[in-house]
Amino acid sequence: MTRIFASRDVALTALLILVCLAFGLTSENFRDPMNFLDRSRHWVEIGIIAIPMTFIIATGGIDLSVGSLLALCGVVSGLAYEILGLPLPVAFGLGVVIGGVCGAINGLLSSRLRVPALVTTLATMAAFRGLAMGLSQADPIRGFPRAFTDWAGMGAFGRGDFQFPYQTAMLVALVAVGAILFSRSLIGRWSIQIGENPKAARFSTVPVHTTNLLLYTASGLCCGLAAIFYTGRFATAHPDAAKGLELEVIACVVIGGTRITGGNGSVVGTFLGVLLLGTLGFGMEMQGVVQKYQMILIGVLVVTIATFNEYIARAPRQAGAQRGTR
Amino acid sequence: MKFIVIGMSAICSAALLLVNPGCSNQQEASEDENEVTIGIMPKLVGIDFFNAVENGALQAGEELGVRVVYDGPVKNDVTKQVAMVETWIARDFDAICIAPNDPDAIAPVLRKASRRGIPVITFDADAALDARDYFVNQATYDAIAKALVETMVKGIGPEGKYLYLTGSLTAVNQNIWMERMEKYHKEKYPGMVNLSETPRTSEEDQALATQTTIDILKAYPELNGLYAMTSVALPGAAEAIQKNDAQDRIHLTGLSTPNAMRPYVKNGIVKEFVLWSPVDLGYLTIHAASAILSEIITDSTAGFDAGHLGQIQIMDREVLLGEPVIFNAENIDNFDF
Repeated sequence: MTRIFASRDVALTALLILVCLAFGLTSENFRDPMNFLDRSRHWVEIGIIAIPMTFIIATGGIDLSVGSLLALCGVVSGLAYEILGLPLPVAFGLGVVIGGVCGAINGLLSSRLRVPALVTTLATMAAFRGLAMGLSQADPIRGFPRAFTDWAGMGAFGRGDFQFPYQTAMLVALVAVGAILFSRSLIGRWSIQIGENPKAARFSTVPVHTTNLLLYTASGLCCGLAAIFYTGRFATAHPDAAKGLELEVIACVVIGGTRITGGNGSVVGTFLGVLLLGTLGFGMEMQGVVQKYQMILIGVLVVTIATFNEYIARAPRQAGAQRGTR
Repeated sequence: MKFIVIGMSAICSAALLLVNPGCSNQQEASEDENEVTIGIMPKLVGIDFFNAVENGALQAGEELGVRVVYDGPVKNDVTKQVAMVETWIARDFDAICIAPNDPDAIAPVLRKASRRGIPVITFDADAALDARDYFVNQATYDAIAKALVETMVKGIGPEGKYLYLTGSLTAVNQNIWMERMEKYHKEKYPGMVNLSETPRTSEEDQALATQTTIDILKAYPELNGLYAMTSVALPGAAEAIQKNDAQDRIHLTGLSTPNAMRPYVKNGIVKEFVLWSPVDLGYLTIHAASAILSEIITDSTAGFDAGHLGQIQIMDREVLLGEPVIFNAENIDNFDF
């Protein structure tokens, strides 16, 4: 029985509340919800890409190329706007399409060539970055209109004391869609079946290739979408953009309880992972903890939570096995 | 279930305990609501130049009785700078000083700060003009040009033959400096001769600068003086002069840091070279920020009193540090950057 909210998600929520309480009691600036919501713009790109990544990791795959692909989509959109003179929405639409195409290439390579996704997406990670560098001649694309950068950096529902950033609202909606797809649709079930045992999945008529193709394409599309906000926030399309983003995305998925070897997963858990890492980072910065200590602490936390997740994932199975032998 | 929640809570609390000792010192300081906090962010932390900026900034903070927070990214990464400025805005800093890694990428977040009423001051490198209130200019192009030419004339006289060794032909600062120097030569020392209209290049590569200088020495036997226009071109050229034992024939000067040039100044390869003082740059930046906060500097101000630097000029929303520093064997040991 798959449920939208796994028990692990409740535990993560409890941890999140505890973190908020701890920081809230010690820092006045942390307590200001406006500060917190404004800050959420920083996690949206990670969150958007983490949703398809949850499915992909559930199949036992991985997509390391997401950071490079985000940069490539941004550069393509920027060039389409600046050199081809396309209207901005069309230019970014083109960026999303390119993201989808590159994602499909990832899907085809990983699925058809029978080379592990870790290797193929490592290769495309380098290739997409190189393409972004080449197209832009390693020079960031500037000159986006103020209206666009203000929209991405400051645009929000509501006025005055309560402002909910557009992109955060969109992330919440995407998480809802992703969570329902994961737990209530065939694509979610197939992903888990492939992750549990790819051979068995193929024999039980799961369309393995099609599922992979769809998932990596979705990952690419999400990179294109994230590129819009990323480019807007920084007012430049930088070929160097989002370096190391893939690691943050994967960390959020793993914290959310998806095993890196596949076979299970939770989109809600992933979202909680994004919130937890984001809140911790924000809270520590409000406390004035310098960057290097933040990195150490987050590393310790990822390992601890992953260990817990592994323990929980194993516990019921062992109990079942024991019952079986008796 | 319960076990998991309790277990996670325990780890979380432990983690938070770990956080607290790390920040308790700063915490106490920031508790004082009335204290003015000025943030100053370098392009990156951990290099000599910006360490010197930090020293100057902290010294100014002590003099003025304001809290100065110096922090920045570990690499010259503008996205990290954006995130850190966001944090400073959320932490209610009173003023933000920054050396941006990209003038346009930093602009949206600086405008956000301005919209919240936080004065924004750039130093070392500028941001998009409408995104900052003031730029602390380390030294005007003309002042640098004048200092370099005068240093050269001291060595080769007003009739000498000279050449430029620059970074790349597209380096903006270097091109403007050389243009101003040519103008200054023509006006004040018309007898001096530039042996090559196009400057020689060294592409920010010290070994290449050495090689190019060796070639120059062979190709121009009549050469008297050489300007090395970047902080790596000058030590590179000095190495070539030293190898060829040409210090009596060629008078070498240019722009570089004291730490890179110390050995060559000590053994007489280079008599004098030019740069601004990063310590003074940090010191002036904090003084300017503080003066803006206390409304000593307003839109119509043409100058203000910046501690031990004395009267400082303001022009076109630029705070001018003034004359560059000329380093030589007597004063070089007073500087560490």
